[in-house]
Amino acid sequence: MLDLFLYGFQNVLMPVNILAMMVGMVIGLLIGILPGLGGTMAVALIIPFTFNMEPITGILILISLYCTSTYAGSITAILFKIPGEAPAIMTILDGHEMAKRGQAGKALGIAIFASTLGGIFSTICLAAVSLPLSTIALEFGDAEYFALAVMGLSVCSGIGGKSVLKNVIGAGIGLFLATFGTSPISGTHRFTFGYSGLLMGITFIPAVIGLFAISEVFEEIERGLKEGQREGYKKQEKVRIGMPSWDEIKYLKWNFLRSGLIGTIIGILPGVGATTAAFFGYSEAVRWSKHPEKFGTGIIEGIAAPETANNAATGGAMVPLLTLGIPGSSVTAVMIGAFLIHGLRPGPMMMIQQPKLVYSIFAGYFFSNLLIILAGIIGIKFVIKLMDFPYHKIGPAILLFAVIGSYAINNSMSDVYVTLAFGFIGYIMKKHGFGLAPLILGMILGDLAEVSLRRAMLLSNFDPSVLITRPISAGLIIFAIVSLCYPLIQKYIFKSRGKEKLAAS
Amino acid sequence: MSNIVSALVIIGISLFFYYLTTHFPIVKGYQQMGDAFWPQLVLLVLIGLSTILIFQFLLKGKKKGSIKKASPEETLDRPALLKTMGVMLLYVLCIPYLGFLVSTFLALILFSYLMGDRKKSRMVYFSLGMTIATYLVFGLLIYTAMPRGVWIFKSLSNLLY
Repeated sequence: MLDLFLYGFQNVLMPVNILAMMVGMVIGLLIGILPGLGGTMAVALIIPFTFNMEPITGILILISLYCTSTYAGSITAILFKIPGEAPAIMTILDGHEMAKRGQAGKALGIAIFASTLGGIFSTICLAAVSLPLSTIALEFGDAEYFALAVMGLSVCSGIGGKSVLKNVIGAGIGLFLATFGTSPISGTHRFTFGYSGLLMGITFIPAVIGLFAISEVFEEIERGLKEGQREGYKKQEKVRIGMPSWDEIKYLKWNFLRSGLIGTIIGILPGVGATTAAFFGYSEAVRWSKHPEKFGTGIIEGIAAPETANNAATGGAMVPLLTLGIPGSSVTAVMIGAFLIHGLRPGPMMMIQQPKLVYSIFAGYFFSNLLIILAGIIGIKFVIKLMDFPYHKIGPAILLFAVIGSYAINNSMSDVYVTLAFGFIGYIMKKHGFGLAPLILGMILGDLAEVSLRRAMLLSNFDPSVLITRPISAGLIIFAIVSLCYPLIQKYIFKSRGKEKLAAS
Repeated sequence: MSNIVSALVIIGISLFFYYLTTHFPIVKGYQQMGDAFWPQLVLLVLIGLSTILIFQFLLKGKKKGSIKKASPEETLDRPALLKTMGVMLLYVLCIPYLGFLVSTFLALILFSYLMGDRKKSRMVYFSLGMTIATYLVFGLLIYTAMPRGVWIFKSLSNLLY
């Protein structure tokens, strides 16, 4: 095995392959920064260009593009509250708050470091334990997916606004909005009102752009602009690179490890990708934090967790692809095309018949994640200057990007209408104290929860005990209930102790 | 007070959509736990939670003796906000008719003005620059088929791209 690793590194470090990874990195950086362009689309567009290349060279371009684009979405998320890629949605919550305080460089640096670490972590898992890990994908059925959704929803009360009840209502609204469109089980049109633009449901990225970016612009204007400048925004600190200090790395170590593990495992599961991984990374960071109330105010944990998880998912998504021939995400589903073009057949036999190629892919993942640092360093110094532009330039640019970014997803005005509608919804919700993060959470998990629940019931002849008799499913549901009830129990215990102390004194 | 208003709005909208779910077609084979099941479940939960929100507000008001009067609002630039919302709505509605480039050029000038810029030349150059940059990146680089508009705007758009 060691000689295969050495061969892999040697192969990847050939000049043509280094060049391929650099090209993939640059394309990934551009794709990730520009909203409306996804990694899936970019990989699909680049595949034909790899036809005449050596298999490993072509695959390295795609891997580098995938890893870099997953990270690069955090750049616009932090600076402008527009996620360049869906996995960067959770980074908005704390990243943009840090940028408002003049710490955009630091926020971007933490995103780079966390993304690189997450990607390398999952690469190590991919290389060392991919076969045992792939059995996880086989153990997950509909009951387990539903339990996963429940576990994710259980944290909604703690993120978003101050009111627990309003956060849960927000999540409920998100769950409801996820039902729009064609029913995933039977194909019935639900709440489409005869409008073809709603047949595919409410497109997720336009909704998020509207909720965060457009509503934020509305709020800034309402707060009043003094000579085109925003109230409460500090000029950006002069930071050379912005990487986390050694103390911060030590402080975040458990966060990195937990989020890396979560991202890798979520990435392994077919049907859920980097976006869900980022969300779970963030929500578990909130759950395990000693200061959960600080999330959303601009803390480094709020950036480290989702960024580690979403890049860890990129490696995790390769596990079922290489070991079972099942793609772990939409990007790896498209990558199967690249493998087939080069006469390769991903699956159990690939590791036996093509071990040198497989280990070269592992090495390629490793170096692609290191290249994220280069991508970030190149990008940071340039993009951070944009934050100091007067708001009468930034605000219109954000609105323009929101419109064109939404339109570019499907070349459809329906998505632009969705963006605008959600811009108004987001503004109204914030005015009434409803957090936006729970709504996003509901939209992310709504489809997963409904489809998996209904399928689990259909397959078990509507026997609800299937959710609690399967060990993984039962474990996740119990964990969700305990973590939901624990803050309430803790509050009750503190109150009782407070009354006892009062009575004693 | 805003809690009651938002709760009532959520209840009203939820009831409306619940009514719509009662008209979903019943697909053969999916009579039990059909397409209406999940939306109805979520809507009922929303109605219940919103009701709790109303009671929560009323109970808090009783405990404090009276409904707390809303504190005087900080100085907010509502007129600028409403104008910006109006321009944004107009911009999006005009794109299919005026074409993307023309409507974007005009909208950016208006947005810049509403957000505090008063230098005419700067507004025009910024708007022109951003429109061209958007066309170069999205139109030429990634072949996004931007709306061309209708009538003379379509001819103008065809001239430009």
